[in-house]
Amino acid sequence: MEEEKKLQNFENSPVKKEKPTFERKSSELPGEEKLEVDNIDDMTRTRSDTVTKPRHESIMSKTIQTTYEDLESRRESYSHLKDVDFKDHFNNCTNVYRKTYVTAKAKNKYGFVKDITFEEQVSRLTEAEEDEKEGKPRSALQNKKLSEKETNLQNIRLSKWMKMLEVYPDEVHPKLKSRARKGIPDYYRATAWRVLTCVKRLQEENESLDYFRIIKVKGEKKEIDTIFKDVTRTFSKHSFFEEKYGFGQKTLFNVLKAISLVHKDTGYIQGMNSIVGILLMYMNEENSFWTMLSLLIKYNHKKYFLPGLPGLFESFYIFMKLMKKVLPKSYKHMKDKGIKPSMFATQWFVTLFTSGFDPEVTVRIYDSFFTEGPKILYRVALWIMKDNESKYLGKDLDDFLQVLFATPKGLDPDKLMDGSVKIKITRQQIIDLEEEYKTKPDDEVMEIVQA
Amino acid sequence: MEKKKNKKVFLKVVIIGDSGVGKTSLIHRYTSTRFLQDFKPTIGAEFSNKEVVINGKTVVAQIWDTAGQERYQSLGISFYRGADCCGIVFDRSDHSSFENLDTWKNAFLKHGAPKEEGTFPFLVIGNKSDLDDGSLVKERDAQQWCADNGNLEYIETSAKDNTSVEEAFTKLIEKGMEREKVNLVELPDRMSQKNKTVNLQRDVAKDVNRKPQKKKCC
Repeated sequence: MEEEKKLQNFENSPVKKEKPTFERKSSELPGEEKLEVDNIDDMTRTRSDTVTKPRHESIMSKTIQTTYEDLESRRESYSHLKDVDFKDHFNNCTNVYRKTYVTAKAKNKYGFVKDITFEEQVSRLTEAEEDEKEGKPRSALQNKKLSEKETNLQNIRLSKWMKMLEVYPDEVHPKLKSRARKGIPDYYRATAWRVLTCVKRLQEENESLDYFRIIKVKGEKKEIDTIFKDVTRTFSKHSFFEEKYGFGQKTLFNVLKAISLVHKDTGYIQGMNSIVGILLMYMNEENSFWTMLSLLIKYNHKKYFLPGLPGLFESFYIFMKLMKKVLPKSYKHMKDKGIKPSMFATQWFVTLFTSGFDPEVTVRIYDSFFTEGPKILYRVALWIMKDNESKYLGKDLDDFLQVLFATPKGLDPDKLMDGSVKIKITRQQIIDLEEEYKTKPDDEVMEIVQA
Repeated sequence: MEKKKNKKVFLKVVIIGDSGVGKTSLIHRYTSTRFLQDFKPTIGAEFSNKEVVINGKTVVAQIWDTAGQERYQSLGISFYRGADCCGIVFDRSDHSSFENLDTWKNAFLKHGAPKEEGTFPFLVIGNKSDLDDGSLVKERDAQQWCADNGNLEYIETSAKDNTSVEEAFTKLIEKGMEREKVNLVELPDRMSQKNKTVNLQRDVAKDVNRKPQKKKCC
């Protein structure tokens, strides 16, 4: 009952209506704060919201304070320290700054609350105390001041990106692809993703669609229930989504609800939640909505969510055909052992490597995906297989899957991108295979692909 | 000599039920003895295994965690085939997930097509028992449903409080072993694993004869 009430409140009180424009007052929404960047005054800024702080940055800069209750609630993670009295520990630690320091470091670069052991916390505390004694208290948030050289480099990259996307998509800069593969600068990602996905055009084509009106429409109960359930279990360790029914979860709820109302072909399907989750880490809810919509329509990502999951099986087919060519040993092994891509790769394609992967890896894949389309998905998938080939060849189903399920943890994004782009496949190959799948699919591969 | 000691039995356990009833949490609790904090909806299916000794036999339970949302069922059903036992989970605080037990059981029998439709080992699991505010699905009602559906066994669990989780899986595995008793050929470690995989392949092969159908939901 109480849940229901909460749900109603949730639905009926959308986040404060704002004029839907690109220009946004800073500080109203975290993640869209304007950022002062030195040395680019002379640049013509054609897009008013060019440089924005990703959400994890703005959250990082707020004072984060942990209470002993927080620790208590995570006691399970410290099961080996059953007898430690957290309350005692925190009472002894009177200095607020120190507490902040300790907990701030418990969040990683992308805003995720890291599992750190109790010992680690204590050792960090000691570190901080020592620094203090030595008279050089380090910044509570460890916001490293960039050196002049680093600032310049950052600005150069920013200006390159701004120039490149000024004319996009009318003119595609020859270096766009290779630069996207290196990663879009974090502060510029929100804008770049929006430009690359042609959100503006989509908005022009659907002028009557007003996001802030949509989220006031009452949704269908069953769908709303599903969304509601998933909202509390999307990046629940990220500082933005952590708070139950907090601002982060509310915006996620709004966007997913709007998608389910507008995109009737699919409605809300699980998997969308994690993609929108990543978008929300960079953009406000309205922009996330449009970007997601563009992804579904312009990038035809909806094919992964349609009844019967046609896109997924097509991707599996293409993936296995490419495997046969690029990694014949792995292909044969999978065929012989009866291992199907649906046993491990479903979430790779459906969520664009979001679910289960670290966000620092995911955003890099998004950068390339938005620039060059689905080819990168096959490349990454093949690279993961290639990188693990020595570990799983000769293994049976159990061990084979264990190897692959263990990969997403701690993947180095640079290594992944560098490796992936070296996988030799072409756009034309994918187009041909799509056609082949539709017209006369290879029976042998179909056997492996079919559910 | 060594080899003889390492007799292992491989069992395929499939866990099904509505979205958000706690399938992943239960499995995670069982295989890693911790409550999953960073949980997310399961897309497609996930796999984990656990080695346990039951009645003096080493059993490797291959546990398939399936997606609860309807759209992903067309994928889930491929994991039903060759299952030795099946746990149907519902959320005791969500009555509609209890009402859907029928649908899940029927879908499993239809797509998993086990030989013994009437006696296939199911275990009905009522999860989230920790949320007791008086409005939970009553044990009596659940027992009644189980009785009406071929005398299935019922157990109440809480993945959060770790109540009866181990018990539930042990029961499931025991049931699976019971069923397999006749067919099980005990082989040394490697061999039996190989054997298992061949089995799986045979299942796949069985299906291949069907025309590559255009994918429809379920």
